Amino acid sequence: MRERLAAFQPLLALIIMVAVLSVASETFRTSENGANVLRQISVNLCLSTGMTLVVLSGGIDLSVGSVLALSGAITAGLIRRPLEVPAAGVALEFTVWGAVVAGISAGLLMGLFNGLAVTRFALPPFVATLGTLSIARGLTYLWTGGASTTGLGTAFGWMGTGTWLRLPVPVWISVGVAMLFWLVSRRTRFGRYVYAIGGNERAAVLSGLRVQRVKAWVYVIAGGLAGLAGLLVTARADAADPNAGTGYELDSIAAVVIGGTSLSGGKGSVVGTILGCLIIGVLNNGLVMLQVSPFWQQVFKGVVILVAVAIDRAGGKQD
Amino acid sequence: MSASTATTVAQQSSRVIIMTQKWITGAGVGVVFLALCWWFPLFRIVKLETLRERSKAETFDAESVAAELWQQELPNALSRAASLSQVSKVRAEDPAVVKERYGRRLGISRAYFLLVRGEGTIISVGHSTLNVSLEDAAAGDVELKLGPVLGNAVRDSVGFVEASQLPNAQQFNDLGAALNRQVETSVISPLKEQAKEGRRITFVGCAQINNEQRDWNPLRLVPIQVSVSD
Repeated sequence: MRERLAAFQPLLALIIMVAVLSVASETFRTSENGANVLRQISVNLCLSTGMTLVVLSGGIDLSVGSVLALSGAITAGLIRRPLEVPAAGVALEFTVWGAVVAGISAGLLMGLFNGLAVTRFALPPFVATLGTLSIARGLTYLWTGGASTTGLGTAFGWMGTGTWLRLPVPVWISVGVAMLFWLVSRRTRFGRYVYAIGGNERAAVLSGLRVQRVKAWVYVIAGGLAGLAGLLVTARADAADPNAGTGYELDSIAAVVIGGTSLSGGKGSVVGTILGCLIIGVLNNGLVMLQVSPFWQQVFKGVVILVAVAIDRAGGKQD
Repeated sequence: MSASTATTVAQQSSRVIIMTQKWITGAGVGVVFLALCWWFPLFRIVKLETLRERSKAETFDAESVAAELWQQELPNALSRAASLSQVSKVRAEDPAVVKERYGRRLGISRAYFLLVRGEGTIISVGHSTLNVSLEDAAAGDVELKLGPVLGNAVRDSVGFVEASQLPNAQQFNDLGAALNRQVETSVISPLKEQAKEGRRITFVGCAQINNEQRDWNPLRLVPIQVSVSD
């Protein structure tokens, strides 16, 4: 019963925030602003969905921001210029769809690298993904030469700026992804394994679960979703910025924690993360609407994260 | 058959069923992906020679692009230039309106660019600038650049090309530098020869405003068209 009530805490917080901001700012309660908030959170929602699975399994992924930049840069680069293969005397001219597949594949590969570093080489997730953060950022600079790539065309741009049924396309994509992984975490054997490993890894090993394989897959999924988020950012800006995604891992971890997922693993849900993303999005948007200084916005965000963790810890002690 | 053997056989067959299901699902996903790639190819293969020939034809020559734009687009830009007297009047009432009405901004940058016209008398000529006392005394004095032109005031004030029209930021920067060279050769060089104290000057110039207090006292302009007379 207490656990069920705890699951409602983020929702309650969101309702209170929306109610207060609706009274405080007329612009906040317009439907245009609602769509704007949803569009703004879509990138964080993609990242945070993957991060939720990682945190549920007892890990952490600090590389998602850099992987986002790498995937966006690879996609943009392949759209703009062919990939030369001098040994074969040919070049590959990627279609938009091909470049999208390549970008997401880059994310999956970086995720696999994280997964192998954590499982095969037994590196702590914090250290392994911190290394990947730097590697992915460096690869992005090497691939782009440090310059932005712009002019990616309307077909690709639709992914970031288009609308479908009056809602921005990135919102459909990110909500679809979140719902898919909510189902995966709640209704599949893989999802149950993730919870089991995060709850008690030793018990999971003794139960015969293929812990290392499940953990590796969790990082692969997080990498792939970071890649997808990179495509959304790049498509929306019509440019791949090699510095994109800097600090996004912190927003993503914040959304996961605010959504009620325990940093020690085994407890939480993707639905909570959706609420966490909404809380951060509404907070950012509301503070801008109320013309609060950007410096104070950072302070407020930090306080919200601390309060969320404190509530989580208090709940843990009671359990 | 003992109960334990039966259990083992049942476990093995259930494992085989699970593995088969996994393989069928994996193969299904693979087939769908391959079918998608067949109908919507990921890439086309071209010979490197063909590609090199094509890219030679498409090489970005910032100097020629700038010269061409200068020839074709400058008249349009000049016709858009706002009168300095008018801009000064509006600024005296509300400085924020100048940014909204006459300023050109790139993305979310706080800086903005102005394209303005004016006329007045040259009051001093320095090594890299000349000062003009405007005919409309209320508009104050302006400073016209005579030295090397740096920055993006020309490119971003005239707005010949948007960043999104070029494939990358490097080309956009190269174009800005090439436009600066164009201004130096076609506007500033002749102006240096004609500029003398007391002569009348009519000009169109570009300015970048980063700071409302500092950049208006005096307004510093890069001239893109000038006419000097006695």
